[in-house]
Formats: sequence, C-alpha cells, structure tokens
Amino acid sequence: MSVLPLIIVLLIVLDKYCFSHILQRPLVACTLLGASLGYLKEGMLLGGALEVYYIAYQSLSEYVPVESGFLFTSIISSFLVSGGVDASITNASAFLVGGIALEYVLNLFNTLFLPAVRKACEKHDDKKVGMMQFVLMLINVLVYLGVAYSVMNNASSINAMLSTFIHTYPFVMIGIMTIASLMPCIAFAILLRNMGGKDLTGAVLLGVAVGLILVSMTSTAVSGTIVACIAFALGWFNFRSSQKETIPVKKEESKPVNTIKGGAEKWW
Amino acid sequence: MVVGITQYTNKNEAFPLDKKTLNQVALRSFMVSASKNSETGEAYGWCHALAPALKKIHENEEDLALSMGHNLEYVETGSFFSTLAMGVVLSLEAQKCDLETIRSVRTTMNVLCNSLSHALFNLMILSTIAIACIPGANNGNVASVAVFALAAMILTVVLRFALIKVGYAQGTKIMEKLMKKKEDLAKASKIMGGFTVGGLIVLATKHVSASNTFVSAVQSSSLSSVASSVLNAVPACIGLVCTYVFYYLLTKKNYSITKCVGIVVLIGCIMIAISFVLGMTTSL
Repeated sequence: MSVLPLIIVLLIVLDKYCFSHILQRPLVACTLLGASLGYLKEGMLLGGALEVYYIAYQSLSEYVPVESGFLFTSIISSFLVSGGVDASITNASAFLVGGIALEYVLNLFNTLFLPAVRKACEKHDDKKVGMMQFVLMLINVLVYLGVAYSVMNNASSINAMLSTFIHTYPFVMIGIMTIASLMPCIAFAILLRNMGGKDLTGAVLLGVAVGLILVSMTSTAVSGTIVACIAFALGWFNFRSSQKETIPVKKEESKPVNTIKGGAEKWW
Repeated sequence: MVVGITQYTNKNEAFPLDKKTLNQVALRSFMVSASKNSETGEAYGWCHALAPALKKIHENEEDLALSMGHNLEYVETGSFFSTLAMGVVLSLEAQKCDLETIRSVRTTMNVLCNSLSHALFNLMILSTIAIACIPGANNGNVASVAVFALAAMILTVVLRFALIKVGYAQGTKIMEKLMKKKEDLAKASKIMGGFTVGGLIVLATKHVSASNTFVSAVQSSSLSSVASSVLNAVPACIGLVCTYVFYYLLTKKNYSITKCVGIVVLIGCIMIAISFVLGMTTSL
C-alpha cells in the first residue's frame, strides 16, 4: 500500500488550515491525488468536473462550509476514480453533504475548548492559546487523514455506507446543521451585551431588515459587502450629524438697542 | 473580570508598532482558520495572531488580558483580506479607543473583509482563472492546474503582508483625527456595530436547516410570490429571536455561556426528533 496519497492528503489539509486554502479546490486536490494514485488524467477530469460544481456552490460558501464539503468529496472521489470518473461524480452530492456534516461536527468539537482559551486569555498567555489552536488543528488533520486512510482501504463499502446513511437518516444532518447555525446567535448575544445592547435594538432591527432585502436579491457575499458599507455610512452619517449638533454657534455681539422710556424698541 | 464592561486603565496612546511586529501578525494570520469553532468562528486564530502586537501596545497586564479577551469574540474574516481587518483593529488598540468602538469597527470590518474575500476572489478572480484552466485540465495539461494553484498562492501571501500595513497606517491616520471627538465616535460606532450584527444574524442563520426544509415544503404548495418571500424571512427571524433570547438570558438571568450552548444542543435534539416524526429531508 502506497503512503504517497496519504502524504498528499496531509499536504492538502495542512494548506486548508494554515496556508492558502487553494490546494483544497477540487481542480488542484483531484489532480494531485490522481497523480499520486497513478490516474493523473482521470484525476484532472474529475477535478475539472467538481470545480464547476464548486463554482456553482460558491454563493453558499460564506456561512456554510462548502469548501470543506468539496475537500471531502475530492478526497473520496479521487480514491474511487479507478472505477471510472462518472462513477465518482455520481455520488458527489452525498459526499458533499457528508463533508459539510463532518466540518460541522469538527467545529462543534472545537467549541468545547472555548472556556479553556478564554481562561488562557485572562492570563494573557498567548502561547497556551497557540498551543490549543495547534492541538485542535492536529486533531482535525488526523480526522481527515483517518477518513482518507479508511476510504483508501475500503473505498466501495464506505461509499455505499455513506450514501445509505445520508438517505436513511437525513434528520441527523438537520439536527447538526440547526445546532451549527444557531451557535453564532450566542456569540451575537455576547457582542450585543458588550456593546451595550439596550440602545441598539433599532439599529439591529434595521440591519436585519436590510440584510433580508439584500439576501433575497443577491448572494450572501455581495449582501455582506453592502451591509458593511451601509454600516460604515450609517456610522459616518451619525458621527457627522452629532458633530453639527455640538459645533458651538458663534454668538453675535449684541448690538446696543435703542430703547425709549417704557422698554419699547425704536422702530425707525 | 467581565470582558466588555471594563475599560482600559491606561488610556495613553501606545508607541507605533514596528514593521517586524506587523509581519509577525501577518505570518500568524495564515493560521486564523486553523481551529474554527461554531460559536465564535475564527476567534482562536484571530486572538493568537494579534497577541504579539497587543503585548507591545498594552504594557498594563490587566489591559492586555482585557484586550485578548474581547478579541476572542465572534470573528470571521475569510482568507484574503483578514490582515486588513487586523491592521485597522490594531490601530484602534494603539489609540486606546473605547472597547465598544473597537468591537463595532472589528465586527463591521470582519463582515466587509469576509464578504469581499468571497465576492471579489472566490466568486470572481479565482473562479475566472479556474474556468480558464478547466479546458486545459480536461486535455491533460498539468501546467494549467499549476498556474491556477500558484496564482492563488502568490495572491494570498502578497495580500496578507501588504494589507496589514495598509490597514494599520490608514486606520491610525483616520483615528488620530477622529479621537478628538471620542464620545461622538463611540456613539456612531455603536450604531454601526448594532446594524452590522443585525445583518450578520440574517447572513449567518440563512441556512438554519430545519426552517429551510419547512419553508421549501410550504413553498412547494401553491403560494403567491409575496407569501413565498415572506416565508424566506423565517430563518432570519429564528436567528433574531434566538439572539435576543440569549441576550436576555445572559444579561437578566445571569446564565453562563455553557448553559446557552446546552440550550442550543437541546434545540438541535428537538429538531432531530421533529424531523424524524415528520419525515423531513435536508434541503442541501
């Protein structure tokens, strides 16, 4: 059994976690894995086909880990490529869902370390923060390597098992996705508390309304850019208007008023 | 120590950060997404990347702990523009701005950088290069794949080291002018932060799976387009309600964060049970 494909998987996953995030793109990942398995041409064909899917799914990728899903898909499909490119592509959607679920589970696992990292920050111990980050990265890399190793040994049975699981127990996926989507709400609540959320209800609701309109019209990436630009404009407008309110008005020197006896002003 | 309520004790402006420290931050920024978590996104990596600069800015130990603590809040910057946000945040830290201001600017910069990274690079530049390279790959031309990978790698490295300097220099320049009107700035940035959090709630909870399944099930029945678009707001409303429920629990009921996480897991389990009973399938 060759170790080279596992080394390539290690390189790709390390690039995902601590470099350019580009080796995980299907075009590159499948080419590299195909070359290491001795199926360079098939790997490139598979990579090209999956890359088109990847581009199509990009509009989801900002807040759903589509990239990780495609990394998982690329790894498993490349190991199955000996059975033909078409056969590898057929089950790509099942692998994609499996990859997204795996990323959600890993993210939930990483959340368990948050209290420890908070304590390390209170002691301003950045070495400990870095250490925990490294350990978590190592665990995540090992999970991907483990998946790659088991797929390499039992490619077809794992393919069948994954497809069956996703089609038979879709509600497990619904639960995982619900937890992962609602988890950031806790972080938003903490942010609001720390910003002094009492006075911010209007701004938050305005943000939700604008976000909803934008999301229904365009992709999340474009919506996010526009939301951030509007936020800056809103802040700047508020800052400028409060400046105008606080600029001291020059007091005109009061001219002596000619008055006649009785307090009435001379009209002429 | 409750992060967020306390302010920095030493409010004197720090010495400007040197090139070496900024490069160190840029180097560490490569690992920002190494340990992404569900609750605070890329916060571990963000905090670890900023740590060398924060140590130089805050000589007071309590201030340093406070600064590292609040930089552990929700962060999600994407892979190409993360150092721009870091530079701006470091300029605010060096000016010893109010924590509310730093928090608001950081959140807005994060949304901007993450969205720009996806819209400009992933959707436009890299996808265009990929589409140009795919025919070459189909013909067995390895060079086209190598060109694609190398172009993206060079872009990542150059942008990371260049943008941190731009962010820090421009942020300092702007903040030096604005710091004279500190109170107005704090008020304006709070509104900016609140608006951004509202937008983030919609973007981050767009894919609450269970509600999406419900929405697609209802939409498949004959509905007018107005009713369909109203239904699309369901995930965002769930996110908004959840955020305010957690806000209430954290502030009024003094719930710990761990308890809140437990509640989310419980909601997930309930969703599994409901979707099992109703026979729902995932919308992905």
